[in-house]
Amino acid sequence: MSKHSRLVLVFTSAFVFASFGVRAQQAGQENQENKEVPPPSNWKPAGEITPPAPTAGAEEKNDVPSPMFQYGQFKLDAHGRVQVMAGLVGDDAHSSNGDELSRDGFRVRRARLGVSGQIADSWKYEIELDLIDEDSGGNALMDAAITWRPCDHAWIKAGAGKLPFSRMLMVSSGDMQLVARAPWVGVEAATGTAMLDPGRQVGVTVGGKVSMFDYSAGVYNGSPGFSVGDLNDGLMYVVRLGTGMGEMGNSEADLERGGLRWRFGLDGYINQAPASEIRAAGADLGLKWQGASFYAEALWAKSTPATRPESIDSSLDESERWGMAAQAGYVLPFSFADIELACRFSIMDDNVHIDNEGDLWELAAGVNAYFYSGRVKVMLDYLLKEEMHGSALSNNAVLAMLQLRF
Amino acid sequence: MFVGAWFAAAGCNDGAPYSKAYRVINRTQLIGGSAALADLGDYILENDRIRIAMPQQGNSVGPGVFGGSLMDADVHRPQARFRNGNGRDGFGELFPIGNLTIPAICLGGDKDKIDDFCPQLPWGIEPSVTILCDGSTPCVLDPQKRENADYRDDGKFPTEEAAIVRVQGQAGNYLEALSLVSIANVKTNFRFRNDYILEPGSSAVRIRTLLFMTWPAGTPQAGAIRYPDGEVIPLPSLKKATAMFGLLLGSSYFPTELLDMEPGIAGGDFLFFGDRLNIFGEGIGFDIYKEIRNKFATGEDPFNSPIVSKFLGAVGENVSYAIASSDPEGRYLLPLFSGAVTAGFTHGVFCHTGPCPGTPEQCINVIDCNDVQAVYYERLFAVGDGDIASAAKAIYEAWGTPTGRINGHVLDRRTGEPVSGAKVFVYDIPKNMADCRLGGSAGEPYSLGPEGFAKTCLEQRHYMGAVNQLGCDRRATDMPQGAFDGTLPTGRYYMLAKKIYYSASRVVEVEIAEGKTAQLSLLLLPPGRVEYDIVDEQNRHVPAKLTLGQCFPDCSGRYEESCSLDDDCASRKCVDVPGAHGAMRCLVDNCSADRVCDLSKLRCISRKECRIDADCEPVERCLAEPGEDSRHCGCVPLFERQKALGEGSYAPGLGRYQYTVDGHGQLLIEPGAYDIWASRGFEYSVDKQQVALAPGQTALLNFRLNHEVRTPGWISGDFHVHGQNSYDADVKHRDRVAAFAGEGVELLSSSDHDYVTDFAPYVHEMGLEPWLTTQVGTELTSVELGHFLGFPFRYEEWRDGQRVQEQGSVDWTGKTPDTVFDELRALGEYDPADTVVVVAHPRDSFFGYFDQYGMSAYDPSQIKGTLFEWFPPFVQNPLGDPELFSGRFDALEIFNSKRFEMVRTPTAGEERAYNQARSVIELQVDKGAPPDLIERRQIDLDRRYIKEILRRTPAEQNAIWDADGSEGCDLISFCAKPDDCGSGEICDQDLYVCYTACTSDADCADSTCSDGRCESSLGPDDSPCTSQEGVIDDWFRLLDYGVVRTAMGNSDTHQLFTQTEAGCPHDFVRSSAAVPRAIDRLEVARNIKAGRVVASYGPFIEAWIDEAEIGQTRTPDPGQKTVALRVKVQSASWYDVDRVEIYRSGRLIHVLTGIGDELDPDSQVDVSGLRLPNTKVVNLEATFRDPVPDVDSWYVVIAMGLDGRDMSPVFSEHPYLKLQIGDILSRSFSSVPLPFDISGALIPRVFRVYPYAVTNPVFVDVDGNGSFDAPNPLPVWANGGKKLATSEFPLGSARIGRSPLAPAAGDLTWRLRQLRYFMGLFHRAAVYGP
Repeated sequence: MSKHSRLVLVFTSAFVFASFGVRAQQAGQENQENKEVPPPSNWKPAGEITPPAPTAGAEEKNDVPSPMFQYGQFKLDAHGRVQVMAGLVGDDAHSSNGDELSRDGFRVRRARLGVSGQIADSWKYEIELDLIDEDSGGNALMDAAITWRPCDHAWIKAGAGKLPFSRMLMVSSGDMQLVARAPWVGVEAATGTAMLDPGRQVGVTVGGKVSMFDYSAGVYNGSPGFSVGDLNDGLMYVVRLGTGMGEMGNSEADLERGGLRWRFGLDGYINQAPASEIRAAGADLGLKWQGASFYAEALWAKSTPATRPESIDSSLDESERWGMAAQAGYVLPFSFADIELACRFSIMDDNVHIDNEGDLWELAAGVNAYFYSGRVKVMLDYLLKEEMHGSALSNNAVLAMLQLRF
Repeated sequence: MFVGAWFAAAGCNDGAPYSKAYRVINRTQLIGGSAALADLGDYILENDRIRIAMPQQGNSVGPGVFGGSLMDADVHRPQARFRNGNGRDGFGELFPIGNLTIPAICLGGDKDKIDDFCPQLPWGIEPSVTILCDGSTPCVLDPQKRENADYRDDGKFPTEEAAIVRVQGQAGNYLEALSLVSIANVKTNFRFRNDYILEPGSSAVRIRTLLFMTWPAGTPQAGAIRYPDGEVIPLPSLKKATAMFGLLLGSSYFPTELLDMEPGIAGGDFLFFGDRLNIFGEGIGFDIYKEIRNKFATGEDPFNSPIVSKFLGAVGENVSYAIASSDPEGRYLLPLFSGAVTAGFTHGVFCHTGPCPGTPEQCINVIDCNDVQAVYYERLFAVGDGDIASAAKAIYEAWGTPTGRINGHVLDRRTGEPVSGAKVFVYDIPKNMADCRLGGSAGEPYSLGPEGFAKTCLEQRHYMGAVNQLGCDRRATDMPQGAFDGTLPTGRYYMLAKKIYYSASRVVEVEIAEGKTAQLSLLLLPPGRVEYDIVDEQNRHVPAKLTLGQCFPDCSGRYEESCSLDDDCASRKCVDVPGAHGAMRCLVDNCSADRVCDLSKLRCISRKECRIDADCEPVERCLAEPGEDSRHCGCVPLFERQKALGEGSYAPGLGRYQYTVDGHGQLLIEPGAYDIWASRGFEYSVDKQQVALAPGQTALLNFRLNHEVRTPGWISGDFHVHGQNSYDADVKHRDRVAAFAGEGVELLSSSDHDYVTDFAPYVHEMGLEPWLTTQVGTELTSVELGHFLGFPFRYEEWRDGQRVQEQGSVDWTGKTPDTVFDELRALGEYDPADTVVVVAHPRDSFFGYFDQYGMSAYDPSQIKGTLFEWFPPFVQNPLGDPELFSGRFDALEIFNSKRFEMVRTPTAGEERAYNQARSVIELQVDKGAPPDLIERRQIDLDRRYIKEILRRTPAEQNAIWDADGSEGCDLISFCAKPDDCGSGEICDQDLYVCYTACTSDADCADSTCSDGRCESSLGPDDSPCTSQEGVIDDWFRLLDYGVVRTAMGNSDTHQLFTQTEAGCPHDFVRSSAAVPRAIDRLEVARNIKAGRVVASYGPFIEAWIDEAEIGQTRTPDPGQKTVALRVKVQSASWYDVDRVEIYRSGRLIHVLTGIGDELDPDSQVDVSGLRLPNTKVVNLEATFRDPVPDVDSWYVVIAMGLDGRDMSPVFSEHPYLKLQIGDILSRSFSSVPLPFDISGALIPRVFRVYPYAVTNPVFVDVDGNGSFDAPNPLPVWANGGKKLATSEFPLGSARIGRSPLAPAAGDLTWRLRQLRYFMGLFHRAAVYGP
């Protein structure tokens, strides 16, 4: 390691720990306040229309009232999270098949570090790096975008990040109720396909809200690799429409234990990929009420090859796949922490034309403990995976994860 | 949640084994993989362990020709990334054989095909492939049905859970020519029923074949079952090596153990493994071919003394296969073996009328075939996940063999880190020394232990003899931890680990107990590492090739006057001449003063004495010459890749090759001392270094390559290239592109077998546009009409929303040459008239157009017709009609691959001398010479004689040019005893050759009488050998008949290294492109059609007549007396050109060597560039004032280097003596007691790559009509015309128009003549396939 690298590392470490210390102290104070006055006093009552959250567009997660650094209108705040996983998995489990672990053992699942803030009024920025994750398609950079929000009815965002497609994908991994997303996400990462999970992209997104509806739409490269530019013949077009009542918050869990809130979304995309044109659509519904949360989503995608480079390893013609998930949780407040019970049933068919091991369902159940307003989270999940056709794989898993975030 | 739970219950999969069969309706159902061929409409048979695919009723798109074969196979891979047709199939094709026939599952009725394509016998069964049991309902076979009679007989019905695909059809021939075996009464009239049975939970499919005896074609009941009320009996398994001719021919033609045996029945499979698989024999290892060569070298023939193995295995990329008899006691016999075509037999019987006359043991494989309705036999085909053990496990399970497990790790001996990708080999512990090594004593018990086994047994047997093999981290999903795990039969074994580029581990003894698991770890020393940079004269990093090995050639030279001391020579080098019995001569070479060039090895050797190896350079050893006390440094290749360990076949001393696309790279190699050469094809220099590498050590090397040969106005192109889309090649697209860039070829034209491939995306992706451009083409690969190249094509994968099969390549089955030419042209990127159609390897037996149609090499207007024409009662192929021969092609390959034996027609004298010399070598077997020594001597002989064939003297050329083909070279008659020779002949008991007896010279027509025999009974030495046609001589003759077609030379590369490297040979084509990316494919196509091409194995030749270039016509001015023939020959400095031959209209007019012009002693031409040693790039630049010829003429220049440095090691020689199908059959037929020999004369086939190049003609138009007018009339076939000249039986005894059968009734001689010609066709069929 060079001297320069060591300096950067030391500086970065000091920066992170200092930040974490400040945040932890504040969080402890907030947590005490929360326990005294549930639900939070600053929470809007049910029925009031709020902007969609989370979104892949102009989310305001960084719009904190007390940024780490401020100079005039310029604000800077740092954020990060580390997820450390341990698990016991079946003999057939393998990361190349979409499983979280290949063998019993440990894994640093994510180590993210980012900054965000505003440059001037209405101009926001965000940058997030993943120090280890390969899910981004080889990008250490996960998010890098600039947003201009002149008013609530319209905003525009340019850069790299998540697309406004699929609520399950848009939720931050730090806010999930279960360790892993539905199995189709892992399967697509394992096979290098991008149908139900288009991943992060570079492009431009516009959005806003009109009355009780919100919208976002964007155009993207349609392929991973932020720095190489568009390698496709065409682009990817995504649109999402949503409506709902009440503020859902960023977390899947109803840590706020507020009144009834719900959100409903419809989304879809067309991706003019190199080998094919992929069309996808999805619908999702989320509910929260007094600590209980429910979420359901269905996605469908179809890939129609146009012309593609000759390859003898593949015989893919038209393929069509779908997935559904229903997830529920309930948060029990205890003095030492919020304890949540969560479960999810998900099902997918990776190709509707054939019955094979790609037709599977998964039942996931877990218990989570939130400390310091969720900045420390401990999760324990059991995943039961069942292949509906073909060979049955021994790929059930017990997964535990510790997450720290600031 | 409740809904979810309900879903869960409903969709629950209990993981129970299952089996099912279905037809492919969506390509996502396919298996997929590098060798996958199945498509929509084909059949899949799968269970929870494996998946296999069979083509539908129709023509196989693989190497087979019919449907119903086993075409794709893989383990069942439930992992997400292998689904949807992304499996790992690596298998070629398999179809059952009954004797030599196969099920003819084909479809006729295509309007583009000739009317009687795929005819059916009147009473024959309709060909079909059906799903008998699909696995969804209980599989219950009706025992009363005739087609289930075998199950009724032995009671081995499939279980109710089984899935079955059934194939039924009449017997047919893979090659039409094979039907000729019926001449010798081989049983060929069958009806096939073949069941593929897959039980749940099994990794092996049962292949169960039922053969009904049927009435032959031509009888009133043709195709009907002959004995419908007869018995259905099992075909006994073969338990030991059995002479296949004995089974097929019976006692009439073969000395069987029991007398009066009638022709019998042999059952097995044709196996087309393809090049993606490494084939393994239990008890042999991966070098089965070496086993065959050993047999051959020691006088045995593989057909009648076949290789015997318990099972045959094959390993591919994360997939493996095993095939065996279903009988645990049965053996797998391999009479014919190659990666491309292997025939395996597992069952067989002699037929005998009445009780068997032998002992019960002798009669195991004897039955009374009279009134037998049908026979049946069963094999097991298992699929594993990447090593032999995983595939063989299913075989052992089916056999009920007691087994145990072995597992462990292969680790780096220095670091303890896992070594992934190593192979673990399992050997039986020898019982005695005969089991240990060749020539060992069976009476001496083995007592050497594991260490002695490695030293004494393995090294001497080339590491052959493994009974099993386990792979590390073999599954595609395995993490690299060097782990191996497998099942072996119980017993004690020796095991060792080896990974390519690592030294082998020591041998360890293990015991496998039933139901137990043994564990061990094997340690490997790490390899050495080379990191390198390669730049050109402009300091640009360039695509290039690195070659590592030992004892590479590095000099050339010549002997001059006699001498006795160094001081007698200007060169100060007075040396012994090898083989000259002490004679000494001055040596002129390019070695340093203290070294001399060993002209036999072309390597500088030390003249200094040494005591130990350390006194020499790292790559040398201190050697003692036989009979001398002193020792000198010399080079002996210590390094040899072990094919038996699956490491590929390299010539001795060659360690490895590597291509780099950006001039950087690193590679691993076993620790040792090496020569390292960097190269970049024909036009660049090479850079050589030496390095000694210790385990784990890294050497940093820099190389510089200079572009020496100047070719402005020309580009280099290779138009015959195979890769992963060819069934018999396994070169990935990126590797193929890298190889061409590294060899400096500027235009890469794809030509996969019946497949259209586009390399352009890979060139783009790899950033190689500055060095290489591509075009699209194909090789139309008919089985029996010849092969044809077509280019440039448009590339089309999808049409009207449907995927285009094979990207639109031509389905040639049932089509005439004219039709396939038209269809090739229609695929053109430009106007069909601009599509180039090339006859590939025209004289390559079944794969050569000229051979197939019997085009006369002496009068091309005569098309003698194919085999099918001559034997209509036996072979019916209307495509063989001579009138279908078409001249509507644009070019022909005069060079193909490294096959110099097809370049020139040998003279009778050359042929005779070669065959006699070869016989002498083979007779050394009787004197106890080991196989390796015999093989080495045969290779040396081949190297020597091919030079004689390539070097054409004026007398030889005059003889061939004046010959009419009616006489000149008959075949040598070999004999084992005096009776074998004809009347008036005597058998030379030393040479086993028949000679004409004589008392004086007057008794000998063309030779002298010596020792009571005519020295030559073959006519004048210089006359052409009429049984071998060289394509250059064909091409000359075509020019003389006005059939002006472009001569080309292409690599036909199928591998990445050693056998056929990229661009060796290739063409120089006139082009206006200054850089590769500017190459205009249309311009190239038109220039090829115009003959503006030089075909080359290295040298670059330019030629002009006055101002006319190659391919152009010069019309002399009125009154002009002479023309200026200007010739320029260049070669890079690392190989030599020492001879230039200039032809005018078929006659040699100049022969230039280092001493001048042989035909013009007064010539003042500067020939210093042809003199050895020589590093001149311009070998010859001369102008000849030749008189204007009397008639229109053509001029062709040939340059060659035969005595200097050849193209090795950059372009290597074949690593071992090639046995071709004809060799095997010739030897096999020699075991048949015939009145005379029917085998063909042999020709050299293993040699180095010699610098050799040929220009296309420059024409001289004397009569001033603007074009070349040939002296002979244009054949009617030349431009689409029909009606041919007389067809003639090649051996002159039968002619069309007279029934071949009429004189043949009971005429054994006539039958044998036919067989002899049949053998001749096989003779040149490469054992490696097309």
